[in-house]
Amino acid sequence: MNLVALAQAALAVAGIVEPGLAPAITTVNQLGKLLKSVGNDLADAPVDSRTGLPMTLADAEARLELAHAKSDQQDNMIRANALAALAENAAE
Amino acid sequence: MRTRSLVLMLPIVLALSFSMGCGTVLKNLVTVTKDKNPVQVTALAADTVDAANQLGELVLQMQASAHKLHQSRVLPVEADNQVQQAAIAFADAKDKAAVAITSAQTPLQIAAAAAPLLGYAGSIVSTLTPVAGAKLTGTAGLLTGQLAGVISKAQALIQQMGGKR
Repeated sequence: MNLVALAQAALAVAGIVEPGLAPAITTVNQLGKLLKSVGNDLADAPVDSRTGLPMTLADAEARLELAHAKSDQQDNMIRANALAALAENAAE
Repeated sequence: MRTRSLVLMLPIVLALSFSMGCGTVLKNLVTVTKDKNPVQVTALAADTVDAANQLGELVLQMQASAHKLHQSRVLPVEADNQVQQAAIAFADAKDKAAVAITSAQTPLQIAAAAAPLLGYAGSIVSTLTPVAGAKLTGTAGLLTGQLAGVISKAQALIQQMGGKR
């Protein structure tokens, strides 16, 4: 039974559908569908986009390690650039 | 009275319909754990750190644009300083988030670890948006045009990360 449709119908019959209420219900419904699809993705085994084969734990760990290394390098660059800009501004 | 009852009932109906629509995801969010699904959770962690790095690229571009715009006398020094401080806060938060994401045992913990990054990047976006929207000429105009593109990408990414995770 679709309770969203039921709620919309009930509100329409009761004549109390305020502007914005029906879209809110639709949004909740869409969000539910979106979360459901994300949930299904989580339960499925991920696929390596380069090979098209199911990802192994070693593949996933290697990807995570690579992402970490890039993150560290990037964070240091952001900090260095910011400190240089702040020092330059202070010297003005 | 009838109207009042219906209005009172609405949150319950919404909650019920929401939980029915999300039954699968709720089940999966509870049952998908690192000990039972190491590949899924590790791959999700890698995706999340990748997404944070994409946001980091945009932060790098925004902080560089802010400083150049200040040098061109378009952006006040206070705003440039604010952007640079927010960029440092973002980098510090990303450091912590990357560690928390790696040790996370569930998708929900991964999402919780990444969530604060959206706020720091959002504050840079909101500081620079009025400048990027201003009509300027010459190099400053070109720079604000580029900045508008970067801001738009950052906004899309923030929305995507916030909405999907």
